[in-house]
Amino acid sequence: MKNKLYYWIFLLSGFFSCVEPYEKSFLTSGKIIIIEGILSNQPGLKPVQIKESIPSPSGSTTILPLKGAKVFILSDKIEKTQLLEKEEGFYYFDPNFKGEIGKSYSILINASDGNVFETDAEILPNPVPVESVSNSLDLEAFKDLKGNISPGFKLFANILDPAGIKNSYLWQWKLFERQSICKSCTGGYYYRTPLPLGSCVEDAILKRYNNIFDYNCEIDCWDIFNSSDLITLSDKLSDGNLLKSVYVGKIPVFQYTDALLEISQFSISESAYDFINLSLQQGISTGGLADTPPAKLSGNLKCKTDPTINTSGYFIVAGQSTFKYWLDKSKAFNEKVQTTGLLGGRSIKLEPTGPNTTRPPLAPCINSLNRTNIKPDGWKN
Amino acid sequence: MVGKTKFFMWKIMFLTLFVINLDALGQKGYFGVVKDSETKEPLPGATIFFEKNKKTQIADNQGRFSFQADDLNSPISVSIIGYLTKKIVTDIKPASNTFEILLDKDTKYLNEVVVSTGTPIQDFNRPILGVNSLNVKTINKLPTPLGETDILKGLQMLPGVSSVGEASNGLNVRGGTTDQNLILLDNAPIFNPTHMFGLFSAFPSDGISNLQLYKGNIPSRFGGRSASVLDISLRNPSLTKFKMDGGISMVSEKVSMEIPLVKEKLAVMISGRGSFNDFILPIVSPKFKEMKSNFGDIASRLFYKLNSKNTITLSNYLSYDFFQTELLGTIKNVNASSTQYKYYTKNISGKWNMALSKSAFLETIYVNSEYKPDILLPEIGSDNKVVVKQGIKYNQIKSSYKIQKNNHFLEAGLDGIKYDINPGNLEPNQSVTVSPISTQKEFGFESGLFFSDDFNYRKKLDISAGLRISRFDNLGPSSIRYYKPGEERTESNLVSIETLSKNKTIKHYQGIEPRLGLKYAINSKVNAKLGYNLSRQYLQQVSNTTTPLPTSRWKLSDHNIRPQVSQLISGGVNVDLNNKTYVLGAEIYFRKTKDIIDYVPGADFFLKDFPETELLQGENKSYGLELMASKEKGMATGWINYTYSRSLNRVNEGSSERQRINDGVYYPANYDRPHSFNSSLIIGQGKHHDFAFNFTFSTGRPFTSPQGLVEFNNNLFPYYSERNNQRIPAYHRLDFAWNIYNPKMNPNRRFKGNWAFSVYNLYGQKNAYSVFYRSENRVLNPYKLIIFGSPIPSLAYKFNFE
Repeated sequence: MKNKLYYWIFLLSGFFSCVEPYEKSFLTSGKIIIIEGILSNQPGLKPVQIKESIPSPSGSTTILPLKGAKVFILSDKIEKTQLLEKEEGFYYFDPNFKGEIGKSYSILINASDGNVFETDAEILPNPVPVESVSNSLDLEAFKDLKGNISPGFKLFANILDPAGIKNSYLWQWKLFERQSICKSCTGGYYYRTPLPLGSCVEDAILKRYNNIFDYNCEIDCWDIFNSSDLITLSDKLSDGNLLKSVYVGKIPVFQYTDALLEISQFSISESAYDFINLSLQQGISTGGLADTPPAKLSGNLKCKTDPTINTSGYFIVAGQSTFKYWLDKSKAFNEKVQTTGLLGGRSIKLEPTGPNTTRPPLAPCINSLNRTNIKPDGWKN
Repeated sequence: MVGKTKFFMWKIMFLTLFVINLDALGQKGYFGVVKDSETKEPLPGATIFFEKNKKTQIADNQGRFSFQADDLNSPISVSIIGYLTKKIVTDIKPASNTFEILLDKDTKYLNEVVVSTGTPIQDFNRPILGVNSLNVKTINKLPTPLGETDILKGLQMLPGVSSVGEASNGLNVRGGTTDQNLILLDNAPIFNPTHMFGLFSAFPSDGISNLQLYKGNIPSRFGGRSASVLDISLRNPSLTKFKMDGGISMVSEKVSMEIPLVKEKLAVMISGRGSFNDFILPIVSPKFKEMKSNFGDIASRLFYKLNSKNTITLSNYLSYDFFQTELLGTIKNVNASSTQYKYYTKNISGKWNMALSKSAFLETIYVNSEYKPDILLPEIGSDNKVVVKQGIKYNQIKSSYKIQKNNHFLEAGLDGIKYDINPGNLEPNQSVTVSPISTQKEFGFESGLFFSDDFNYRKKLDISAGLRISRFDNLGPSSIRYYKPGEERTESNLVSIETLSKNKTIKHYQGIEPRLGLKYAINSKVNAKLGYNLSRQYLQQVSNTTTPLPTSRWKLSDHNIRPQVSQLISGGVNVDLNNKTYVLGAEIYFRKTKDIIDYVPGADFFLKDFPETELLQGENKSYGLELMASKEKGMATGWINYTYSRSLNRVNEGSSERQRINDGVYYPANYDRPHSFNSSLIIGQGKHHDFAFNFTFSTGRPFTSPQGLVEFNNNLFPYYSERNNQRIPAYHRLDFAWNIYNPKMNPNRRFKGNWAFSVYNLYGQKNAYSVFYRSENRVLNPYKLIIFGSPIPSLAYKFNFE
């Protein structure tokens, strides 16, 4: 029976499709100006990013921030508010600025080389609330073409789609995971000075072995993860219906402790939806038996002074609703699924205690885009 | 309007008959019939050579041929592969105008003869260019994946015929798209010619008697497609003897039977095949636990010899597929556990042959065809399935009159086809997530009047002259959308909508389709051919994927989408060496097709009521040189061919980016493959076994590589501007088969079994089906998708009982 099984396996293993890396470079030509940003009806907007994709003669590409531009948000094509470049290529809204439902918005860019770019104006639509969220543990949630598989929680939402209006949706999530390690030192030891951050001091022996020590947080701390998936849906087939169990994201199993999710549902324009879908079709969902011919990812940015300059990306104007969801991970614990940890896949290694009772020190939890010491709103316990 | 058109056609028909009959008082014609001496079955495709006038004829599908009084009492030789050539004298008694020629099977050389290509000799003699006839017995011997005899894969060994790869849902003939080929099985159309998403042909090979691929000059009795016609005939059942054959392979089980019901009068042939072996898949790998695939097909032909002047044939074909895979995408709005494809073809065709006189025949055909592909989405957490239904209904009546007059073999006829197309309905059933959606149905009527004359002029020149006049009416009920002229067809450019009621003509197209073939016999061994062909296509498949999906929609020409018109000029030379042991051929062609279908960037047709907003029309030019050499006799037989061909498209509907592709200049079409080489060799080892080899090579087909990178939401995406700017790697593959016949070696056994061991892709070449890019961890990685990446051995068993 076993031989017969191997016979079938041998016969059929060559039959089915397989995917292999393909060693072929492609020649890039012409720079591309890219815009990325979302304006919604909620404050705390992320900055607008403007980048340049620059080809080199060897065929490789470098993506650099477009710095030194004067960037404005236009409301109803009349009001003009400048965004501030706090980091290269990142143009920030005023912290209290938010969009108003029913108004149109566009971005105007006066680049330092004199070129002027503008996005097509879009009207900020009404947000649509999320009715409820559920999750299911999928042991094969993450798969790549090399055959690597890891588990994750798939998120599903119920949404009552407004009837009679064309709605397109984009979902993103923000995950708060309790973090117990606030500092890691490679090839050295952590010291609390100089305040407030402290520093890693190199040690020859630790360096030789490339040793990493981790240090516990001195206060409660949370790591913040933002989704990089682009998950969209159009109500073309479901206008006015209850959209039941719509897939809105998947979360890796970092650790067994429960976590908090902020799921943002953006109501976007049909044009934004088409752009995102095309990006996914051409960059993520490729490799099937029936791929479609590629198309230019033009987006909604245009160069007004030189139409030959390629542009891409999208400045999305969206109605946003947020749903806080407590992610219960007991199922992952019960099934003993493998966790990735919060240190990029490696296990925690604390500096061992010794005769010096002041060591190891605790590390501060420093606020940033990916970490916070402020208890997230909605956090349980 | 439809009624007036029909009446007009009938008036022309009667006029034609009247004119022909007025002259029927001229020279008397005679008919012969070539038959198998044992079974008395007609032998279509037999070659009849008239030694006195050095003329050649090919027997038609009833085994008939014709000749004149001046060929009476003169020697003729009659030959066909698998039979001993017969030389006789045409000494018909004055009272009769027909006589029967019975040929004996050539059992001594049967295997060697049968394994030849079969009919290049016949093709050599015909004035028509670009026609290939294939012997199904030859295809049976060629190695194929998993031991499944495959008509379409066999055809790809011919010059000018290719596909996008192993999983391709059709053929590309001389750089054309798959929907530009009309595939007929006993006169009924096949809209989806493959099973398992392109892996296997949908034709029951054991039920087929012969097939002809017209890729150059298409006889005027065929219309509706611009690149080629593949005319496949089922076998006629024996009127005297019961026969059964069948087999089992890695993929399917099949059986065929010929059953005489009333001796010498009524018989039926049934051929069926089924594949239900997908239970193996989860055993192979847990990855395949969600993959399912079953298919089946059954064909039958009932033959009724009413009397000496009338025969009736009733053919039936049913094909069914069920396929579940993740490789073809899904519908996001439905939270489904899988995506399933279920499709079937139901064809019925009837033919009535009536001998009106000693020299005239009337043939009337009726066809009813239905193709229904569905997408099923089982919802998670319920028994409900959301279904997307589509379908094509096709009804045809065709009648043709054939007469031998003087030196001319004339045919004239009328043809009418009614189309009823459902582009798609979404049926939620119990789903609360999706709403029911119906797209506007399409109706059309295509009619044709055709005429042809095959004759010989001064012994050296054979002429096949034909004319087809076709008309197409797109009918209501429907809405016509008028857009601003010269602008993109978008909602913002919509000017007005007009609604027309049932059977009102929304738009009609018509035109003539000349078909001309000339063959000049330079000497008895060498001939030169020249041809011209114009074809119009009113029905096209709308699909912008690598290969059309089984569920890709079909679309009739209408107010916004014009029919395709293709003109082909071709010329060639054929040489027969060493008494038909070797046949050499060279053919060049140039084809220009107006109003081909192409797609706006990012086109999406799914459940779209107005697909013209996603379509563009342009032109294609294809040209090529096809060289072929075949060996017909001896222990080793086979052929090699080399083709140089190009297929280039140009789309420039307007000045906006959405109206042009590649700035409106010519670019390589998806099926552009400049070089291809095919070789098949069969080495006979006596009566009981032979070896077969196939080798194929072709330039990789075009694909689009990015010209920049875009970073968005922490992902890298490819930025494309120019389409089809690179090629996938060249394709090459060697296959091997060892066929063992009747291993018990008892010639008197009524039951004989044959084994076929084959290895497809002998040296395990990892041919790329496609090249694609995938954004992973902020890097854009190129990959190639391979369908068959290693050698595939298989074993198949066939039996025959008679």
